[in-house]
Amino acid sequence: MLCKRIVVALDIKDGYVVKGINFDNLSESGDPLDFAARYQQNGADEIVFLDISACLEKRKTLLQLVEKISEKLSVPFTVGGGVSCVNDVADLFKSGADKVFINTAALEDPDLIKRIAIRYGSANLVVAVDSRLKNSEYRVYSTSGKKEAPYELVQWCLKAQQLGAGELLITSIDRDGTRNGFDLDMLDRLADKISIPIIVSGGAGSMDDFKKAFERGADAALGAGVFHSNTFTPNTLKSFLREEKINVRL
Amino acid sequence: MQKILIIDTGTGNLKNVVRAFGAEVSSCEKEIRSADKIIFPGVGSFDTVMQNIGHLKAAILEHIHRQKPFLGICIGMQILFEGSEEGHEKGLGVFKGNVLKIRKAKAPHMGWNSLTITRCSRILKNISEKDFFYFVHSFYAVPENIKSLAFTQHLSEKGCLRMCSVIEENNIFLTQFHPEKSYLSGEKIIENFRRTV
Repeated sequence: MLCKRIVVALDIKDGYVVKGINFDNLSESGDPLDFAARYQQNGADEIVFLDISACLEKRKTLLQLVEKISEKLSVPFTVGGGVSCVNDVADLFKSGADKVFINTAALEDPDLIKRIAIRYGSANLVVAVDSRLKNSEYRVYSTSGKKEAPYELVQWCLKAQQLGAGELLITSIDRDGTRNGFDLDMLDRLADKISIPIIVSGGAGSMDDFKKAFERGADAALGAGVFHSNTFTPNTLKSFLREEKINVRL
Repeated sequence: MQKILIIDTGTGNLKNVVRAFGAEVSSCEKEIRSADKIIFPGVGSFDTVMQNIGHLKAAILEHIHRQKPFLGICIGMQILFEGSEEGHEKGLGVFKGNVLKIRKAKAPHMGWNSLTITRCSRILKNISEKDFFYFVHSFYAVPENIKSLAFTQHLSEKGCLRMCSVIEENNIFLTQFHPEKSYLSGEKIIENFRRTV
């Protein structure tokens, strides 16, 4: 039976792993190569690499880093941040990414999802969606949460799915870095409407948070700070989940 | 020393397969004819892959008919059947049966899953039902005249699908999952393939 996945995210800025709160207040915490190797060893089912400094001149450095990291990993490795066209996707796959995610560029040009899916297949394409509650409606934001997009969450997710996204990475901007738990209401709105896998992100603080997310229909749940600070390792978390009758890889 | 070649399907990233197997990539017919073992990697859609390897079909079939070890991963498993719902191109037709779209359960079937193993084999040596493998696919092969070596159950809110996930027939080894992305369990498969003769 298919396992629920524990995804570890490495937010990278200028070559270092960093972690922020509510998409801001970055603090530096170390070498991405060490992080990636350590997480593979202690049970991460997938590693996500988000380049948050992604501007043009730093692009090459990123590709070199992706290449070095992919050499160390034999678990799936997803990369995104600053992807703006099909050629960017091509570069990331060539450098060793297994899956690529897009965010702002898809909001600005939704057909990009289709163009990537046709060339590389839906299964390797993740659409990342950042959302926060505004006037009791979940709105979608682009540009690292700075700009409001003309979509409500479910509406955008359905569109992305229909255009060829293979998976959705849903982040709650309000919960990001707070460790107050995943936004389960957000998840509820999506779980029975979306048929592709959903990775829930933003707010992981306790092992119970992961359990709740899986019980509410998430296929995968993502943590960053909670793992970087060694609150618990992916394997410790998965032992707990198995005891709670949730199917995981151990 | 045995010469293992990875077939260049022209569909993108083969780096992970190259690293995992320590083998070279080739799209040269002559090189493929002289290889001891062939790996058909798992990237790309059915039609694109079939079109890109058009000039290599005869060499691949000859390799298989001479019973030299062949490992097909994901799409590399599917192209050995007659055809696929994913496209219009004909498959290599080494085995009877077709490749169908996952309809009964959530698609893509993405993530770590285990195997129900039906018999002893070379490719699954030292592997048990406690091992997990990484799958990522929306189509699956349904063999008609051969027995599956292992099955995988894909259970989701939408329904349950039991599909063939490993085949071993003579020297043909096929896995629907990606051994190169399956960490320690995958390394065992890679080692088992290395040891085949």
